[in-house]
Amino acid sequence: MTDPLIPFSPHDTHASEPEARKVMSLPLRFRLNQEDVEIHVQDPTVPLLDVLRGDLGLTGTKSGCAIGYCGACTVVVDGEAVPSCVQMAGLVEGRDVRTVEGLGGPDGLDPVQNAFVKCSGLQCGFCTPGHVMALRALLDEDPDPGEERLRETVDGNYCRCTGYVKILDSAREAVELERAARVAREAR
Amino acid sequence: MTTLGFGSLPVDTTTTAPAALLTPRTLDEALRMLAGGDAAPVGGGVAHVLRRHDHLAPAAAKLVSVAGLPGFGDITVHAEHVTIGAGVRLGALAADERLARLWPVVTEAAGSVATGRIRRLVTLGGNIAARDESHDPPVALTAVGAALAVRGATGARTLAVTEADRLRPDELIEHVRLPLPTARTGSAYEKFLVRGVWEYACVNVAAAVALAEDGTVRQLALAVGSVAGGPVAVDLMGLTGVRPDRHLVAAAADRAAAGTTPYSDVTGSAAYKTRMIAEFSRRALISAIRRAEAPEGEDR
Ligand SMILES: Cc1cc2nc3c(=O)[nH]c(=O)nc-3n(C[C@H](O)[C@H](O)[C@H](O)COP(=O)(O)OP(=O)(O)OC[C@H]3O[C@@H](n4cnc5c(N)ncnc54)[C@H](O)[C@@H]3O)c2cc1C
Ligand code: FES
Ligand code: FES
Repeated sequence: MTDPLIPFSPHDTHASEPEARKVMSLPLRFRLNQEDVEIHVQDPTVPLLDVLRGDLGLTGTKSGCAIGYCGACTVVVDGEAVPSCVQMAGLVEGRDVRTVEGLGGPDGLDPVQNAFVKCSGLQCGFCTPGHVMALRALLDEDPDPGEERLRETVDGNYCRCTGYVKILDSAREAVELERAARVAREAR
Repeated sequence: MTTLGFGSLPVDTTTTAPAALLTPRTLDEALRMLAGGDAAPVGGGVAHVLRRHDHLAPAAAKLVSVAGLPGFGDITVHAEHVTIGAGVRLGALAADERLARLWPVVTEAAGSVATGRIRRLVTLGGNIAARDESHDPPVALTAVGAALAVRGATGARTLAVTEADRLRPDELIEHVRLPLPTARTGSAYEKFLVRGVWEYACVNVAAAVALAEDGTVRQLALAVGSVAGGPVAVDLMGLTGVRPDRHLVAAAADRAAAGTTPYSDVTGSAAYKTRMIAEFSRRALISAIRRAEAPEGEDR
């Protein structure tokens, strides 16, 4: 795995034209987990997923189907949960991207992550980062979503292990833990 | 194919020159870029990423990002029509309350596309320009008689939604124009999912009905998707002027089944789909009629 944040150099391409070389190392700058990142990509149509996992070494975001169906690859772009496998990397230029690696901090895990731990909302864990990021985006937008919105949010993410009961339990628990964390913050 | 963390797929750059992504600030600038040749518009970019997944070369050497152009993200209700910008995301379209009151068939079709996560990315223009026979929004837009406002460097023109295949590579869909519904109009969308979970439709049908003062049918429209050449506007000539009863519904549904050519695929055989087109045409029409008959101001 390449070192995170080291611009990757394209494979030797026999491209002798300087023009081709220039385009090959297309620069891409965006905010990633509250840091500025500048890398070079082969092509603007590369999925953001490949940039995160391959170029930046952030393998917390999972690749399930790679065609937009399963939701495992979900990240948050400008506050919105989107499948990174169908998010064109070129279109995130200048935007704000959050991945599961950006959650939590000195105080421990993010409330959404804690909810999954507390409710055993996972088995193999492959779908979990997608669920966590989608729920994180939902709670940032609406701290008190009703059951329907929780279900809608979970709907975009296949889980082949749990049968969803414990994932929905985790989603409801996340709302509670988030509320408790907010109260604690405000008390400080 | 699933990538398992070995980095980006190696693309053979000796034969495939990497594309450049251009972000014009104005419509004129975008049209000039497209007029230069070897350029393609990018809306949400989903189809462009999936090309790469299928090991296809980028659609063109210059990819022109258009979703953020001024006005492209707007839904505007005018005195006599509604315009929906080509850059409007299907999620925003599905959630528009004004449109849900005017033409529920359109918001229902937009909301039936995949999941909320996909609907945040996909633009209306990209969904139409992709010209997939099974796509949902074009079916609804066909039923309401929407038109595509298309612009190229040499001028503007209007196409019917069913004429999207006449779009030239140097042209953009700027917005979609919908007529305003007259009084006592109802519309509804039906998407049949064989497995009951979100996926592409087995069959998808849109209906719109306008009633006259005396309660008879003044206008009637049915559009069917997931069929050859779809969406197809069903010929319902001669079916107006009567009461919207089950005989009318049955006659219109029969026309829909007889006038469309579905294909066999994983969601069903052609023969099965023909029966489903009749069934879901009935359902869409009945909902549309109920909405048209509902007193003004009630949920349509
Ligand atoms: C998992 C998944 C499930 C899906 N399920 C459904 C479904 O159930 N129903 C459905 O309808 N769709 C469905 N879709 C398809 C989705 O609507 C398409 O991928 C859509 O065409 C992509 O929209 P986009 O804005 O990303 O377009 P892009 O990828 O940006 O562009 C698509 C095409 O349109 C052209 N284009 C874009 N904007 C314009 C414009 N303004 N003027 C002219 N040409 C333009 C582009 O050049 C390109 O050829 C699904 C997609 C995925 C990934
Ligand atoms: S890996 Fe992106 S949706 Fe499945
Ligand atoms: S925990 Fe295994 S896929 Fe969800």
